[in-house]
Amino acid sequence: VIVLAAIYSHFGHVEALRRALAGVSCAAIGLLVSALLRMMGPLLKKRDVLGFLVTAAVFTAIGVWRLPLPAVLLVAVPVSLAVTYAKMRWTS
Amino acid sequence: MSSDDNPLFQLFWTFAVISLFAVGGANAAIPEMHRIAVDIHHWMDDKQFADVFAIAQLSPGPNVLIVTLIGYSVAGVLGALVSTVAMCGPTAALAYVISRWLTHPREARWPAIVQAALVPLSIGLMAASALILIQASDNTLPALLTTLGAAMVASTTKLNPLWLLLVGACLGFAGILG
Repeated sequence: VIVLAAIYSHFGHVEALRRALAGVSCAAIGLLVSALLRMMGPLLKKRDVLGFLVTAAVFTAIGVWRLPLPAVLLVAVPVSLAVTYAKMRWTS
Repeated sequence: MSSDDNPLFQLFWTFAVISLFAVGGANAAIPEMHRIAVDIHHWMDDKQFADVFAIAQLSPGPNVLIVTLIGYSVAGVLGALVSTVAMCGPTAALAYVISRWLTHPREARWPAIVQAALVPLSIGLMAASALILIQASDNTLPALLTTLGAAMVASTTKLNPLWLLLVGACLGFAGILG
């Protein structure tokens, strides 16, 4: 990787290479989106409304509001744990 | 504090903290890396961040390597090493401690609960990653369509992802993406 990084820092200004790399990142984001859809499948199938709310809340806090990750997780992890625990006691 | 000015120290501190909060892997930590590297420290711009993401996806090995690349672009080889160690060390230590704790029979119920609780969290984080990367990289309609196309092909076929990256590179090289 460091070799790749070195190549990039030497030739990063070459316009054609930058264009190609931009194309790679477009495609790579597509792969990320596809992985995302695959992970969301089970959540939707189980009709896990609470889980979906947690997902939406984290997405909004981090992606839209751009809040710092540690702050968001310090709230989200305990909340999600509590919700999951309560749900498991409820159903069992 | 004079250490505030030392980029190596900043790199180490930044990635050590991210590492402890990296629920759901490196791809879930992308928003935080982007916030710190682009918005706070101005180590790189949106375009460079997207490039670094692309290189990390292209190269063999784990996605954590994006950290190595950010470190390299800030402070050279030493920066790359410091960042990688900072990103992997604390996580490994935490994983070790937790896995020892979880082997206690009394706690046997907890892994399932923790896992079930963290899955929606990581999905939310990854969705935020996708949003931020799209904002950083897909500035034109053809670029956005490329992303959507790659997502569709990857979801519906079992094609090796490298082919999609290669097609992306060709489209970009041809200058179609603007």
